Amino acid sequence: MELYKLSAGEISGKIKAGEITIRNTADFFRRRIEKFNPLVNAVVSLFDDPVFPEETSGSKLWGVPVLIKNNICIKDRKITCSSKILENYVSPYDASVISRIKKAGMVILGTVNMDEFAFGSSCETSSLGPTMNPWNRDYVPGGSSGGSAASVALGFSPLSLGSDTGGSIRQPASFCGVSGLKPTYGRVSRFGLVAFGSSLDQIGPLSRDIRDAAYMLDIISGFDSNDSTSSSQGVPDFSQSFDGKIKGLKIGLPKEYFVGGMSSQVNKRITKAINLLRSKGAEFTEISLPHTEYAVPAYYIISSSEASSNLSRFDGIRYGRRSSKGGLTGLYRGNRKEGFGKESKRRIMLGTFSLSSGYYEAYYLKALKVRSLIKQDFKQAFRHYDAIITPTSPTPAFKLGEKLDDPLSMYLSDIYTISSNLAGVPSLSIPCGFTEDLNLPVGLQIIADDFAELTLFRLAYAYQQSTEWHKMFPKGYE
Amino acid sequence: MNIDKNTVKHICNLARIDLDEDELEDYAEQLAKIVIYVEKIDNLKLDDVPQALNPYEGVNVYRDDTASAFDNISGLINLFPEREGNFIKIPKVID
Repeated sequence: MELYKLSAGEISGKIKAGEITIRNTADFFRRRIEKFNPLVNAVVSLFDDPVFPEETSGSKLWGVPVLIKNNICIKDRKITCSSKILENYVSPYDASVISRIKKAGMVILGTVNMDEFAFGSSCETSSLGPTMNPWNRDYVPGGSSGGSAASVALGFSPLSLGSDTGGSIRQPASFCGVSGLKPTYGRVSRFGLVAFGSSLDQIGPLSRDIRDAAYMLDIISGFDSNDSTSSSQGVPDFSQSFDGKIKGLKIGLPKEYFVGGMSSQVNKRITKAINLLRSKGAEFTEISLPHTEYAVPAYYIISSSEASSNLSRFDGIRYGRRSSKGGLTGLYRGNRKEGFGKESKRRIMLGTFSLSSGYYEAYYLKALKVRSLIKQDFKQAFRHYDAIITPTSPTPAFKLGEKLDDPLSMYLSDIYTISSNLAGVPSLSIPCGFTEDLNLPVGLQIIADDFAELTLFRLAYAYQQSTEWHKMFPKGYE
Repeated sequence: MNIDKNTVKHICNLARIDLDEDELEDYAEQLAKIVIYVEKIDNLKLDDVPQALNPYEGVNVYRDDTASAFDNISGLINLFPEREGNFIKIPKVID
């Protein structure tokens, strides 16, 4: 049986029915990782001794293997954020999402690669080497959750966890041909997620079948007293959205997203996906999100400012790499020089500049005002529309090395995903086909109002009912 | 705002990061481009617009200030890069 082709829900069903055992399932995926990971470098740590649940639970994902992004703390496991500065860090505690998935009886197989501290859109800034795109290994898998997306695309596990600060779940999901969800800000506890931009970060699932992502969201959602920004909003049963009923749903197509800069290959696939949803009864109207062009600049000021503050904790005093340079200041400077990679330094510098005396008002405070305008754009749109649909990324995956020395061009690859983080609204990316020229995956982004993940799942499920894109596997890994 | 090598030196000092001379040049050039790009927000009239620190307009959440036990103290202590007994060792702060 080709277990890796089954959805997480199907695997759990077989385990519960006694057709397969939890241990054999985990062993199957471990062997698959051992065999093919050397080709793509997606998994950075494969646990020799995964922990199996002792008791059965009613969870829809009981017994299902899962891979975790290298910035979510797992007790007694090495969590390095793919950075030299944390190369020997062993987490003394579980992140809240990890406690929850352990309680639900999922089996954590290991950790997966990412851009260092999640700074990047290509998984190339990792201190552990880049991850390759499974569909064509000369191309990037996207980032920062590139390892999470490539792993699911290759059937290393049916589900993974990533984190999304400006598109870091959705853009790699799009590049690797899998589904990825950034939940509403506050839906999922960030306790134990190594912070990048605290007002933007959210943990979310990546899967093939959108139902698996919904089951996972059900497990990891809900208020957590350890995260003061986690919401006490009730968590609905997300599986109620799997009815295929999208007739009459009103969907906005923001004109600012469908302009120059989008690849014609991407445009073709998105248009086809829109036509399919229209044929199922969804109603499309062109709308305007007028401040879209200011999202990337505001985002890079805000996220870098928050990052420079969050990363000030990495000083080599209580944990992490310690330099041998003399004196306390020398030790700080040496640790950070040796421990941080190029992009981390760049973000810390941009953030430090934006927050520094004399520039704080001109950059950081202004960016916060732009954020208000972007939030208002979405609020206004969701008064009239149930969802917004856009491409996830203006282009399919780009070549390894292509944008590494041009940070601004790298930043612009997140142009369609960043606004959702600034506004806090939930968004997902689902695979909607391949480019005709290079056969690289294209992703469709669906955005909904705060805490309206049900609408996202309803649309995504209706789409996946009529398409097979989420069931495609790259060749050469059989 | 024009970013040059001196600005980068100043920022590095604030951020406690040492850079080599050639790195200073590279970063000055890249940061200059990025800063010019983000200055695009100056095209907007923002005087009367409120700041949004986070996506919520919600209220601050507080919890009771009560102590609770952490069950893995040795896990924390084992991470100390240098230690003497249960204490973190650091270079002398005051001469």
